[in-house]
Amino acid sequence: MNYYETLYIVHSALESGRLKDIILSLEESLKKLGGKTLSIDLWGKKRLAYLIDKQKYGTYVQLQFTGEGDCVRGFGMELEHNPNVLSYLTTLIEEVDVVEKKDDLDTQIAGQSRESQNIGDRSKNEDNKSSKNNETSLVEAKVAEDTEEPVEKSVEAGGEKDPDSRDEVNDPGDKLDEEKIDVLEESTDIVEENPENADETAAVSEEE
Amino acid sequence: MALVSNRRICIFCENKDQKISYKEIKILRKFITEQGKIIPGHVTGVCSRHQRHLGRAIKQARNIALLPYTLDPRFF
Repeated sequence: MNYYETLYIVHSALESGRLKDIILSLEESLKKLGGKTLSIDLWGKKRLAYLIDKQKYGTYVQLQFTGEGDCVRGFGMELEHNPNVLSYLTTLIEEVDVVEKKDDLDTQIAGQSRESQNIGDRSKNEDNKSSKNNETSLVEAKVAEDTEEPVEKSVEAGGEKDPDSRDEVNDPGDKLDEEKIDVLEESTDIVEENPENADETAAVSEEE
Repeated sequence: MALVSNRRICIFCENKDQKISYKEIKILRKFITEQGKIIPGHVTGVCSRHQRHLGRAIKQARNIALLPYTLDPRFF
């Protein structure tokens, strides 16, 4: 009995339900060939280093199993004939390298779909942020001012059991808020100074 | 005149815990050029034993599209 690890790339366009079906069907085919699955680790959607079947992205799945050498060849053929699998790599590993099962397949797929959604949201938000940077900073500063007071009150009410932890929690936020307020003040100063400067330049031009 | 040695110590011999695997792309990227070529051991200071392991890992990573076979820096 040897320990093997197969990393295969599934088509990225597949939805979470379909992805689960493919993973489970491959696991079943491995079982028929005489292998025993040890762990399935879903890496998630990643950008490929080069195009495979005209695809830029793929979902990486790592499967660790035990079995005889024959089942590796059979499993390789199974992956080769599956149209949803873009590429695969099987390597021999040692028993020490076997990863214990952390989460179920469902939770891993759910987490992966959430991550992909977050990536999409971030890309959208970045576009919006660039246009509305000043407005958001003002709103954040206001929210921070509102939230600061209750936190301090609650800490005082609870007593001074953990002064260090309180400092750790509050300090970074306070510093950031102060910086934001400073930046805002500077920006307002610049706006206020600009009309004066414009007047001065106009006066100079008149004198000339 | 004292001899100045430019000999570098293999980082994998220094850090025994550091594994060379095709999954460690961040480490492998240090040992390939911008074009995707494997940098020779006498340049990076890696010993011949670990250079063999590195070469194998880089080739495996290329096979599964974690690392590129070739890159043209003009397009990036």
